[in-house]
Amino acid sequence: MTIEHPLPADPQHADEMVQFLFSAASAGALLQGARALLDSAPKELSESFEQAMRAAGLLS
Amino acid sequence: VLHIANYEKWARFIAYPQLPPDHLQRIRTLVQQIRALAATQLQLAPELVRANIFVPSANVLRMVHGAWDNMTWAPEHELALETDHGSAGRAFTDGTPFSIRRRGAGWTAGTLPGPQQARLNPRLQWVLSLPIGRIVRTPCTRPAWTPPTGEDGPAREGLTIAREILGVLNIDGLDTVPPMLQTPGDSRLKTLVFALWAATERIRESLALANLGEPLHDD
Repeated sequence: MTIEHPLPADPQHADEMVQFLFSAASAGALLQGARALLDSAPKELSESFEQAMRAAGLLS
Repeated sequence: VLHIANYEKWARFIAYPQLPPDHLQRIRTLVQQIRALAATQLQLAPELVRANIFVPSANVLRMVHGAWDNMTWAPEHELALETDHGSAGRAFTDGTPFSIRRRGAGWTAGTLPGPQQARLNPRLQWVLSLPIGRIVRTPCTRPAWTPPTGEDGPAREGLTIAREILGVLNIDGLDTVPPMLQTPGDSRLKTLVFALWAATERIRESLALANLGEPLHDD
Protein backbone atom coordinates (compact mmCIF):
# COMPACT_ATOMS: atom_id res chain seq x y z
CA MET A 1 0.00 0.00 0.00
CA THR A 2 1.24 3.46 -0.80
CA ILE A 3 0.67 6.29 1.57
CA GLU A 4 0.76 9.92 0.66
CA HIS A 5 -0.22 12.98 2.55
CA PRO A 6 0.01 16.74 2.27
CA LEU A 7 3.08 18.08 4.01
CA PRO A 8 2.08 19.40 7.40
CA ALA A 9 5.33 21.18 8.27
CA ASP A 10 4.87 24.34 6.27
CA PRO A 11 1.31 25.66 6.20
CA GLN A 12 2.22 27.95 3.30
CA HIS A 13 2.18 25.05 0.90
CA ALA A 14 0.44 22.40 2.91
CA ASP A 15 -2.35 22.18 0.39
CA GLU A 16 -0.13 22.06 -2.68
CA MET A 17 2.65 19.57 -2.12
CA VAL A 18 2.24 15.81 -1.83
CA GLN A 19 4.84 13.37 -0.60
CA PHE A 20 4.74 9.82 -1.90
CA LEU A 21 5.70 7.21 0.64
CA PHE A 22 5.92 3.61 -0.48
CA SER A 23 5.74 0.96 2.17
CA ALA A 24 8.09 -1.92 1.62
CA ALA A 25 5.28 -4.28 2.54
CA SER A 26 3.40 -3.37 -0.62
CA ALA A 27 6.39 -3.70 -2.89
CA GLY A 28 5.04 -6.84 -4.54
CA ALA A 29 1.86 -5.21 -5.76
CA LEU A 30 3.70 -2.09 -6.84
CA LEU A 31 6.25 -4.13 -8.69
CA GLN A 32 3.56 -6.00 -10.56
CA GLY A 33 1.67 -2.84 -11.49
CA ALA A 34 4.80 -0.99 -12.52
CA ARG A 35 5.96 -3.87 -14.70
CA ALA A 36 2.62 -3.94 -16.48
CA LEU A 37 2.89 -0.21 -17.05
CA LEU A 38 6.40 -0.54 -18.45
CA ASP A 39 5.43 -3.41 -20.72
CA SER A 40 5.04 -1.13 -23.70
CA ALA A 41 7.87 1.21 -22.72
CA PRO A 42 11.26 1.19 -24.46
CA LYS A 43 13.61 -1.57 -23.42
CA GLU A 44 16.12 0.82 -21.80
CA LEU A 45 13.47 2.07 -19.42
CA SER A 46 12.20 -1.32 -18.32
CA GLU A 47 15.77 -2.56 -17.92
CA SER A 48 16.57 0.44 -15.76
CA PHE A 49 13.53 -0.34 -13.62
CA GLU A 50 14.48 -4.00 -13.25
CA GLN A 51 18.03 -3.03 -12.33
CA ALA A 52 16.72 -0.79 -9.53
CA MET A 53 14.44 -3.51 -8.23
CA ARG A 54 17.24 -6.05 -8.19
CA ALA A 55 19.56 -3.64 -6.37
CA ALA A 56 16.84 -2.88 -3.82
CA GLY A 57 16.32 -6.57 -3.19
CA LEU A 58 12.73 -6.35 -4.36
CA LEU A 59 13.22 -9.11 -6.89
CA SER A 60 13.72 -12.66 -5.79
CA VAL B 1 44.93 12.88 -8.77
CA LEU B 2 44.97 16.25 -10.53
CA HIS B 3 48.12 15.38 -12.43
CA ILE B 4 48.23 16.43 -16.05
CA ALA B 5 48.54 12.79 -17.05
CA ASN B 6 45.07 12.23 -15.64
CA TYR B 7 43.64 15.27 -17.41
CA GLU B 8 40.84 13.45 -19.19
CA LYS B 9 39.64 12.01 -15.94
CA TRP B 10 39.72 15.05 -13.70
CA ALA B 11 38.55 17.45 -16.39
CA ARG B 12 35.34 15.47 -16.57
CA PHE B 13 35.05 15.63 -12.83
CA ILE B 14 35.53 19.38 -12.40
CA ALA B 15 33.18 20.06 -15.29
CA TYR B 16 30.32 18.36 -13.47
CA PRO B 17 27.38 19.01 -13.67
CA GLN B 18 28.22 19.44 -17.33
CA LEU B 19 28.12 15.82 -18.32
CA PRO B 20 30.48 14.20 -20.79
CA PRO B 21 28.86 13.21 -24.09
CA ASP B 22 28.51 9.49 -23.40
CA HIS B 23 26.63 9.95 -20.15
CA LEU B 24 24.68 12.91 -21.45
CA GLN B 25 23.42 10.94 -24.43
CA ARG B 26 22.37 8.01 -22.28
CA ILE B 27 20.65 10.22 -19.72
CA ARG B 28 18.91 12.29 -22.37
CA THR B 29 17.49 9.16 -23.96
CA LEU B 30 16.13 7.94 -20.64
CA VAL B 31 14.72 11.37 -19.82
CA GLN B 32 12.95 11.45 -23.17
CA GLN B 33 11.49 8.01 -22.56
CA ILE B 34 10.35 8.88 -19.07
CA ARG B 35 8.74 12.07 -20.29
CA ALA B 36 6.91 10.20 -23.06
CA LEU B 37 5.69 7.53 -20.66
CA ALA B 38 4.48 10.14 -18.18
CA ALA B 39 2.62 12.04 -20.88
CA THR B 40 0.90 8.89 -22.10
CA GLN B 41 -0.10 7.71 -18.65
CA LEU B 42 -1.26 11.15 -17.52
CA GLN B 43 -3.21 11.48 -20.77
CA LEU B 44 -1.52 14.72 -21.71
CA ALA B 45 -0.31 16.02 -25.04
CA PRO B 46 3.44 15.35 -25.17
CA GLU B 47 4.24 18.97 -25.91
CA LEU B 48 2.74 19.94 -22.55
CA VAL B 49 5.04 17.66 -20.58
CA ARG B 50 8.71 18.38 -19.90
CA ALA B 51 11.54 16.73 -18.02
CA ASN B 52 14.82 17.87 -16.53
CA ILE B 53 17.44 16.91 -13.99
CA PHE B 54 18.77 18.95 -11.09
CA VAL B 55 22.02 18.10 -9.31
CA PRO B 56 23.77 19.78 -6.39
CA SER B 57 26.32 22.38 -7.35
CA ALA B 58 27.79 24.93 -4.93
CA ASN B 59 25.17 24.22 -2.26
CA VAL B 60 22.18 24.63 -4.56
CA LEU B 61 20.43 22.43 -7.08
CA ARG B 62 21.02 23.38 -10.69
CA MET B 63 19.71 22.00 -13.93
CA VAL B 64 22.07 19.79 -15.91
CA HIS B 65 22.19 21.50 -19.27
CA GLY B 66 21.24 19.18 -22.07
CA ALA B 67 19.94 16.44 -19.78
CA TRP B 68 16.42 17.58 -20.44
CA ASP B 69 13.55 17.21 -22.84
CA ASN B 70 11.21 19.93 -24.09
CA MET B 71 12.76 22.58 -21.84
CA THR B 72 12.42 25.53 -24.19
CA TRP B 73 11.95 28.34 -21.65
CA ALA B 74 15.55 29.54 -21.36
CA PRO B 75 15.33 31.43 -18.03
CA GLU B 76 14.57 28.15 -16.30
CA HIS B 77 17.93 26.77 -17.33
CA GLU B 78 19.57 28.99 -14.71
CA LEU B 79 17.28 28.09 -11.83
CA ALA B 80 19.08 27.63 -8.53
CA LEU B 81 17.03 25.82 -5.91
CA GLU B 82 17.87 25.61 -2.25
CA THR B 83 17.66 22.03 -1.08
CA ASP B 84 14.49 22.75 0.85
CA HIS B 85 12.79 24.70 -1.92
CA GLY B 86 10.05 23.34 -4.11
CA SER B 87 9.25 19.73 -4.72
CA ALA B 88 12.72 19.16 -6.20
CA GLY B 89 14.39 20.38 -3.05
CA ARG B 90 12.18 18.25 -0.85
CA ALA B 91 12.71 15.18 -2.99
CA PHE B 92 16.45 15.72 -2.81
CA THR B 93 16.39 16.17 0.96
CA ASP B 94 13.86 13.50 1.89
CA GLY B 95 14.63 10.80 -0.70
CA THR B 96 11.01 10.31 -1.64
CA PRO B 97 8.98 11.54 -4.62
CA PHE B 98 7.03 14.77 -4.26
CA SER B 99 4.51 16.49 -6.43
CA ILE B 100 3.35 20.06 -6.35
CA ARG B 101 0.69 21.85 -8.30
CA ARG B 102 -0.12 25.44 -8.79
CA ARG B 103 -3.23 26.80 -7.19
CA GLY B 104 -4.38 30.20 -8.28
CA ALA B 105 -2.11 32.72 -9.92
CA GLY B 106 1.26 31.60 -8.66
CA TRP B 107 3.36 29.40 -6.46
CA THR B 108 3.35 30.24 -2.79
CA ALA B 109 6.29 32.00 -1.19
CA GLY B 110 6.99 28.84 0.75
CA THR B 111 7.63 27.00 -2.47
CA LEU B 112 10.14 29.23 -4.23
CA PRO B 113 11.63 32.65 -3.48
CA GLY B 114 10.73 35.50 -5.84
CA PRO B 115 13.87 35.60 -8.01
CA GLN B 116 13.56 31.92 -8.79
CA GLN B 117 9.82 32.16 -9.41
CA ALA B 118 10.56 34.85 -11.97
CA ARG B 119 12.58 32.34 -13.97
CA LEU B 120 9.77 29.80 -14.19
CA ASN B 121 7.78 29.34 -17.34
CA PRO B 122 4.53 31.15 -16.50
CA ARG B 123 2.60 28.25 -18.04
CA LEU B 124 4.03 25.76 -15.53
CA GLN B 125 1.22 24.13 -13.56
CA TRP B 126 2.62 21.06 -11.85
CA VAL B 127 5.83 19.26 -11.02
CA LEU B 128 6.60 15.67 -10.08
CA SER B 129 10.04 15.34 -8.50
CA LEU B 130 11.79 11.97 -8.27
CA PRO B 131 14.97 11.65 -6.21
CA ILE B 132 17.77 9.98 -8.12
CA GLY B 133 19.56 7.69 -5.70
CA ARG B 134 19.96 4.12 -4.63
CA ILE B 135 16.48 2.80 -3.95
CA VAL B 136 16.49 0.80 -0.75
CA ARG B 137 14.07 -0.62 1.75
CA THR B 138 14.32 0.71 5.25
CA PRO B 139 13.99 -1.96 7.93
CA CYS B 140 10.72 -2.47 9.76
CA THR B 141 10.91 -1.30 13.34
CA ARG B 142 8.83 -1.88 16.40
CA PRO B 143 8.25 0.83 18.97
CA ALA B 144 10.21 0.44 22.19
CA TRP B 145 7.06 0.90 24.23
CA THR B 146 5.03 -2.27 24.72
CA PRO B 147 1.32 -2.02 25.48
CA PRO B 148 0.35 -3.05 29.02
CA THR B 149 -1.61 -5.95 27.61
CA GLY B 150 1.69 -7.58 26.86
CA GLU B 151 0.98 -7.58 23.15
CA ASP B 152 3.53 -6.29 20.75
CA GLY B 153 2.91 -2.82 19.41
CA PRO B 154 2.21 -2.39 15.72
CA ALA B 155 5.26 -2.70 13.53
CA ARG B 156 6.22 0.43 11.64
CA GLU B 157 6.36 -0.61 8.06
CA GLY B 158 9.64 -0.19 6.27
CA LEU B 159 9.65 2.29 3.45
CA THR B 160 11.16 2.28 0.00
CA ILE B 161 13.32 5.39 -0.20
CA ALA B 162 16.32 6.74 -2.10
CA ARG B 163 19.71 6.96 -0.42
CA GLU B 164 22.98 8.53 -1.62
CA ILE B 165 20.95 10.95 -3.67
CA LEU B 166 22.76 12.45 -6.64
CA GLY B 167 20.02 14.61 -8.08
CA VAL B 168 16.35 14.94 -8.88
CA LEU B 169 14.42 14.15 -12.03
CA ASN B 170 11.58 16.60 -12.52
CA ILE B 171 8.68 15.82 -14.77
CA ASP B 172 6.43 18.83 -15.11
CA GLY B 173 3.62 20.19 -17.20
CA LEU B 174 2.23 23.31 -18.78
CA ASP B 175 -1.25 24.83 -18.94
CA THR B 176 -3.21 22.16 -17.11
CA VAL B 177 -2.99 19.84 -14.12
CA PRO B 178 -3.83 16.26 -15.14
CA PRO B 179 -6.81 14.84 -13.23
CA MET B 180 -4.72 11.96 -11.91
CA LEU B 181 -2.38 14.38 -10.14
CA GLN B 182 -5.34 16.06 -8.50
CA THR B 183 -6.25 12.82 -6.77
CA PRO B 184 -3.10 11.65 -4.98
CA GLY B 185 -4.89 8.59 -3.65
CA ASP B 186 -5.39 7.25 -7.16
CA SER B 187 -3.74 3.82 -7.27
CA ARG B 188 -2.77 4.35 -10.92
CA LEU B 189 -0.86 7.47 -9.92
CA LYS B 190 0.96 5.61 -7.16
CA THR B 191 2.00 2.91 -9.57
CA LEU B 192 3.06 5.43 -12.19
CA VAL B 193 5.17 7.41 -9.72
CA PHE B 194 6.85 4.23 -8.51
CA ALA B 195 7.55 3.02 -12.04
CA LEU B 196 8.98 6.35 -13.17
CA TRP B 197 11.03 6.68 -10.01
CA ALA B 198 12.60 3.23 -10.23
CA ALA B 199 13.24 3.74 -13.94
CA THR B 200 15.74 6.47 -13.03
CA GLU B 201 18.25 3.83 -11.93
CA ARG B 202 20.43 4.07 -15.03
CA ILE B 203 20.37 7.85 -14.77
CA ARG B 204 21.71 7.41 -11.23
CA GLU B 205 24.33 5.06 -12.54
CA SER B 206 25.51 7.55 -15.15
CA LEU B 207 25.54 10.46 -12.72
CA ALA B 208 27.58 8.38 -10.29
CA LEU B 209 30.10 7.43 -12.96
CA ALA B 210 30.31 10.98 -14.30
CA ASN B 211 30.84 12.24 -10.78
CA LEU B 212 33.91 10.04 -10.55
CA GLY B 213 35.10 10.91 -14.03
CA GLU B 214 34.44 7.40 -15.24
CA PRO B 215 33.22 6.75 -18.78
CA LEU B 216 30.07 4.83 -19.56
CA HIS B 217 30.56 1.11 -19.26
CA ASP B 218 28.60 -0.70 -21.93
CA ASP B 219 26.47 -3.55 -20.66
